[in-house]
Amino acid sequence: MEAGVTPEPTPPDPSPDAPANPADPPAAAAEPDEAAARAAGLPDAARRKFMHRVYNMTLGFWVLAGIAGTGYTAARYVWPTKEGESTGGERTVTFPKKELDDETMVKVLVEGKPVGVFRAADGVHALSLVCTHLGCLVNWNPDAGLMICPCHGSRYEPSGQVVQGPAPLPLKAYDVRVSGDTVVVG
Amino acid sequence: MFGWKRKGPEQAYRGVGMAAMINALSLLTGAMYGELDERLDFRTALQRALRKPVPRHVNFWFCFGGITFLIFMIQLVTGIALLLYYRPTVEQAYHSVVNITNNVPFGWLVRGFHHWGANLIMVVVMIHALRVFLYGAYKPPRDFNWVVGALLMFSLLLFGFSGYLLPWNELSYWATVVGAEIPGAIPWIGDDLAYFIKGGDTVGQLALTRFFAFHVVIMPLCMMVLLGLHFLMIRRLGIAGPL
Repeated sequence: MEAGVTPEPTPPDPSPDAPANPADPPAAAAEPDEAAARAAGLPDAARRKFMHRVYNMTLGFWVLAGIAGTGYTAARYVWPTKEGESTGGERTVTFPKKELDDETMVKVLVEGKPVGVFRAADGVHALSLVCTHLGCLVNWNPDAGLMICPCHGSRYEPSGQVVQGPAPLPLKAYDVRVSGDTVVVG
Repeated sequence: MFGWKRKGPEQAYRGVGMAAMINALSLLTGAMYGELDERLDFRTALQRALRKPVPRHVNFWFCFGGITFLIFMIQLVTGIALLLYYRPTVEQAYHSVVNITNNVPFGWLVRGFHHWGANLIMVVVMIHALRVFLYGAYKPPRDFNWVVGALLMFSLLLFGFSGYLLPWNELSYWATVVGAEIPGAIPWIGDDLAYFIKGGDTVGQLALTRFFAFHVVIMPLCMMVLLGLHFLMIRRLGIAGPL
C-alpha cells in the first residue's frame, strides 16, 4: 500500500464530550500535561476514551439491531407460506340455481381454484376439479355417476373418494348448499 | 470556490459518525479489512467519498435531496419485495395485493413502506426543489443539474401514476381512466397517445400490463441514468454558496 493512500484514522475530534471549540489543542497534544488539563477542569483522557467507546458501542448496538431486525423481517417475508400462496379469488362463490338445472356441471373458481358443482343421485356436490394424480382437470360423467380424469382414467365417487387409480388421494370436497334460488359454494 | 477552503480548522466534518460506522462495519464484516482491502483498497475510497468536507453554511434544508434518494432506495427494495407476490392480471391483481396485505408475513409492512414512501417522496422532492430555487442554486454552472432535476421530478410523477393503477381497485382504475384523459387533451396527437398508453380504447388488461412494465422496468432504468447524472454533476460542480 502506498503511503499516499494510507487510510486516515477516524478523526478524534469532535468527540461527544469534548467542548466544540476549534481553538482547543488536539487530544494527542493534551496528553503530556494531563494534570494541567485536569486542573483546568477539562475531562481527562481516560474518561474521553471511555465516552468514545460508549458512543461507538451504542452506535454499533443499534446498527446490529437494525441489521438483525431487517434481516428477520426480510427472511419472513420472502419465505413462502401456505397463506401467502393463495391465488386470490373469493372464498365463497354464489351462482343462480338455474345454471345447475341447465348444465350437468357448473365450473366455478373458489380462491382461484377450479371447483365443479354437480347434481348426483344423492344431492348436490362440489368437488375440486384438480386430479390428485398429475393435476389434470376431471370431468363429471352423469351416465357413470363418476368424476373421470381424461388424462389417465382416474375415477372418483361424487363424494370425492377414489374408485379407480392411479389417483392416490380423494378429490377435495367443498361445502355447498342450495338456498332459495342460489347455490353457495365454499 | 464561493469562499470556502478545502481544509482548515473551521471546516466541519459532518461525516464523522458515518465514517465511524463504516469503520465498525468493515471491521465486523472483514469485507473492507485485511487482505481483500489491501488489494482493492475499498476502505480508503469509501472514507474519501464519505468524509468529503462540506461548507459551513450547509444546513438541514440541504438534506432533502439525500432524503429523496433514501426514499427512492426504500421504494426500490420494497418494490422488488412486492414483485415476489404481485400478479399483474386483471383477475388476480387486486386479490394478490389483498393477499400481500393480509396473509404474507410482514406484507403489510412492505406494502405500507412502498405506499407511504411514494407519497412522502413527492413532499420531500418538492422541499428539495424549493430549497434549490430559493438558494438560487439552479443558476449557472448548475443550470443543467436543474434540468436533470426537473426531468427526475417529472419521472417521479409518472412513476407514481403508473404505480397507482397496479392494485386494480376502484380508486386506481378510475384514477387511471381520468388520468389517461390528460394526454388525450393534447392537440393533434392526443387521441393516439391516449390509445397508445391505454393499449386500447378502454383501461383493461393491456393497460395494466403496460403500466406494470413501465413502473417496474422502464422507469427504474430511466431514473438510474438521470440520478447518476444528477449526482455526477453535484460532485463535479460542488454545493452552491450561502444565501
